[in-house]
Amino acid sequence: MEKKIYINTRASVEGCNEPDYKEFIPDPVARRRMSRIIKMGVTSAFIALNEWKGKAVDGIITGTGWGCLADTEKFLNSIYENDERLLNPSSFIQSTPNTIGAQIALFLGSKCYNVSYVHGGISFESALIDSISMLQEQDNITLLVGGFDEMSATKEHILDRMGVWRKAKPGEGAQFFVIGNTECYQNTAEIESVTTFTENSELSDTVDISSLIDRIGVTLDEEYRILCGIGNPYSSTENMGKNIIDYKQICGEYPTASAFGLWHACGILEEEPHIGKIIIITRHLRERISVIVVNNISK
Amino acid sequence: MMYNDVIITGLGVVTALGKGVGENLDALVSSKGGIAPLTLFATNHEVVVGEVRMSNEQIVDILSLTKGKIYSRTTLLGLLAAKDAYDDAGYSELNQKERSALKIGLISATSVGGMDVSENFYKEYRIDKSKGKLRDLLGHDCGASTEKIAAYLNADDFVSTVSTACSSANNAIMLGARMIKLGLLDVVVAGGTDSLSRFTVNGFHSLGILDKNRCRPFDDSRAGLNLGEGAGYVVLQRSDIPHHKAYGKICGYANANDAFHQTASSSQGEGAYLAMHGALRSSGLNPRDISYVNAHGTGTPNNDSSEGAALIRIFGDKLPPFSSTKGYTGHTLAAAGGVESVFSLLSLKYGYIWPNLHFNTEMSDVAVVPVKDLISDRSLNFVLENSFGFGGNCTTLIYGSYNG
Repeated sequence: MEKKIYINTRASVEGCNEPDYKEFIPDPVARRRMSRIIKMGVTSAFIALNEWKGKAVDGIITGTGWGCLADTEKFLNSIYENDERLLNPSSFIQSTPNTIGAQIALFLGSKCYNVSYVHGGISFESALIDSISMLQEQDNITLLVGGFDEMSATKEHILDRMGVWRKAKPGEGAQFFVIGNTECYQNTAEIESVTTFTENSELSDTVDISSLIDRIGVTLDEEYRILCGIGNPYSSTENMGKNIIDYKQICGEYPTASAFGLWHACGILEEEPHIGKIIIITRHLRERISVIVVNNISK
Repeated sequence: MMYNDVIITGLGVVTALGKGVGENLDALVSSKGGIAPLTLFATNHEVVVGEVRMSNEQIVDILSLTKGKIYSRTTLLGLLAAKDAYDDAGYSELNQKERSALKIGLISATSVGGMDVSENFYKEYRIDKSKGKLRDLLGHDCGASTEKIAAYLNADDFVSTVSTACSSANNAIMLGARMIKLGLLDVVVAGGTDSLSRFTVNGFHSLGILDKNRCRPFDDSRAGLNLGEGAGYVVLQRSDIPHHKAYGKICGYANANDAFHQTASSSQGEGAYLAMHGALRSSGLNPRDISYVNAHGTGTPNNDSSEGAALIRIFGDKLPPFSSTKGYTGHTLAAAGGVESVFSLLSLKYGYIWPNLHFNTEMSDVAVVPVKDLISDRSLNFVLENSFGFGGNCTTLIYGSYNG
């Protein structure tokens, strides 16, 4: 990449630690209409934007694996419950995965670029790849990029029937970032690369972390950490092992957990400035593996 | 920085007009629409739709897929059209060495995903939580159909799915073009697919924007849209990679948000205006360079007034010939931009301007008149194609003729 991608601000709203939404969405009518994931997503975006002292963003790019689950189920249920009669359109309107990106644009009156990606475990990575491309194409712009997913009672129950919780714990969350291609005093981290891998049968049983890192061409000649969020067993060199943190122990399993991973990585770089590089390796269930590389810019 | 030029070397489409470019072209030229009563599933609503006249079993046979496996209709329609596009561009015939020398991606768009199959699960599950076949849910996620198409084509060096309601496929094509331009990929199959489902029929019915009769885009008597289903894909590639034909090139694109209402468009068509304006700017063209506009034109009173107002803001009294092809296919939602990109590229290549079916009377509030009868043998240089969606998402693409 020719231009550096700086993380200016970041925010996280987690299912287990929701803020008082009144503070961020004061209008009680608007708040009541919103499902929980919309409130989580919009609030997370607002926190990231409030901390950003620069000019208005030039793009709003989001990723979600499951979309607005609760509204989707609510509308589906009403179809059967009411035998297709006199249905309330609210939950249909809010079931579309671009609802949160659209709500943010509506609140801000922001007419800029606005896209939502919905591709399972690489939804947030897709949003990042779009953002990074745009930051290469245009000078001096900032983008709001985020990932979010909600765990509904039904989703948790269905994944339980599928046996997912035998190896993982349920998670949910909404993380947003203001990123740009101009360095500013608020920066601590830059994104070096985002890679999504082709599904590969040889990777399906044991993931070889060293070979993944080799494949993306990263050199580990400084102090580093690996945030690992892959359900599968992995192999690593003994030397590497002590630097690995299983971040899904903190945030749980959901398709856009890598957005939490990126948020967490920024926190580590702030608190432990001697660390130069963090590699976030993620796999949701048996889907594509992604690797996000973040650098400490003071290094 | 040197950017790659992006050309289109393959087209694939399946709609109510038929399977493949040939059947669609025949229907377009003979002004024969595909809107008819819904037969795919039972519903209490009296609706006419643009159904693809093939059962899931027939599509499984055509594609020689493993029988007994569950495929959502969205996946099946997407497979049909994406395979046609890939074959058309000649990429199905690559040997292993040729294939591994290229970075080929698939960027798709869908709004309903595997909802048709999930509905089967949920019908049983809601009554008894231990019921419902879990394998019916494996295709539910929007990304699942994209993964199946990518695997089938062996076009999976990068795979992603856009879901911005009815503007989705245009955004998928735009991302594909940008990734090629930047050198991240060499070839991208891009477009969208959506099947009809009980979920969307009831959703649009609850919003009160379905017309019981055939839709009449831009007509004063218009009373709503007809839902359709289908898929449309284009093969985008770097112009310097060998190719045996080209339908056109991508000259410009832009995405903007109306930021007015979750489902309604602003009366001045701000989002549509900004998308068209941005696409013109990115192409370096003037409004007078555009030979034809393939409008979003859904047939709802709100969309067509808003889009008409935006067209006047862009083109003034020099409005080029424009039409909506939704009267042929119905509104294929996330696939619309893919289907209509194929129609726009056919216009460029063969010199046709498609008629806007069922138009009689100019709208009382916005004075724009679409093309009523087929225009042929017209030399077209640039076609502008609009797709707008819920959430204020508006995306415009501009295609230009290419003789390389």
